[in-house]
Amino acid sequence: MLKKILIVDDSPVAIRILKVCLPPELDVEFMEAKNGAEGLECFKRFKPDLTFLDLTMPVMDGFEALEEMLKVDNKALVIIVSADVQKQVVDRVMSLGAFLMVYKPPSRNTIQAAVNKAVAKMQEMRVS
Amino acid sequence: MTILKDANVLFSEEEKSILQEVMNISFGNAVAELAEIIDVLIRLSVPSVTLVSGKDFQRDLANKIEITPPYNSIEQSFSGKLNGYVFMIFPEGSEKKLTALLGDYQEHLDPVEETRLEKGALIEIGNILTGACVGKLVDVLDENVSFTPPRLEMASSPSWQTPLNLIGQESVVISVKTEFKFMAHDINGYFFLITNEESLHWFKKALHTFMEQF
Ligand SMILES: [Mg+2]
Repeated sequence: MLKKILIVDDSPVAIRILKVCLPPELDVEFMEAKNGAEGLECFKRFKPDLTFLDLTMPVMDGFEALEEMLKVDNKALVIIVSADVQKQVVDRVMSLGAFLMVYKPPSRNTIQAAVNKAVAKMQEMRVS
Repeated sequence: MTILKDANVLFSEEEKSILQEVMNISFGNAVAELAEIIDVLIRLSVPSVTLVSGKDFQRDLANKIEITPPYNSIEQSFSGKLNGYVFMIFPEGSEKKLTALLGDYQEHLDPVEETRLEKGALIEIGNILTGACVGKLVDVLDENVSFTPPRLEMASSPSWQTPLNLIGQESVVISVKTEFKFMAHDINGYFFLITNEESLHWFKKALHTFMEQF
């Protein structure tokens, strides 16, 4: 049921690390974007089941992109993956409606746990 | 300014981009540590990595600072497998806001005492950010370094003379820049990390080792 994943990060290295940490058995289509503005466009067009979103990015940062994505679809599952681990930042993204926040650099365990939670949430939303 | 012809051979785009991400992680952690101590929200920028020649790095640094001099420059060197300098630049006037943020202000201070407190605030905040950032950087890369105590320069144009002993005119310098802004306090500043040519070789190896774990 997880078919499409969007990854938004200005760092190609961060995207590569994230993809390596994803469960190897996933059979999904990927879309990548290098800033919040591109990410938002991709989000509208691609309609991902799950989005991984960085915060510190040029053009449009992740805070704004998150808000805009949730305006488009208020049930969107967006996982923030960021090195900005200030408590106020974590509180803010969670109150904006992020599904989860993962600290950089991510590990296989944290990413796989996050994906499992997202899948469980998708099932729950489908039932209700 | 000298264009480094074989800059790409010395340090590839790939290596720059790994260093950029590692720096992003390190500075993000440092800022979170500072925000535990003082009640601030700090907005970060995307770090940028450039290679410059030893004789150009001072001019390069000055060109990258978009605040009007004079400014406060908190400088600290570190050594180990990685050798370099960190410069933290705050605009003039920020020393008063930072002192207030640390809760160090008292009423009716004489100017000498006030200046002492302000210098102390700059040095303390510089020291926290530098220690946490460079500490995390080398930690991510599985190494450690030792620091000299921070020094504060308040000048219209910092000389940045000291690093030349470490760097040498002929050598290649890796220069990493991050901008930050203390939200709600209208304080913006810069964090520069520069390392010498010997460190470049260690950096290359350590960055690839970092990527191999994934
Ligand atoms: Mg980023």
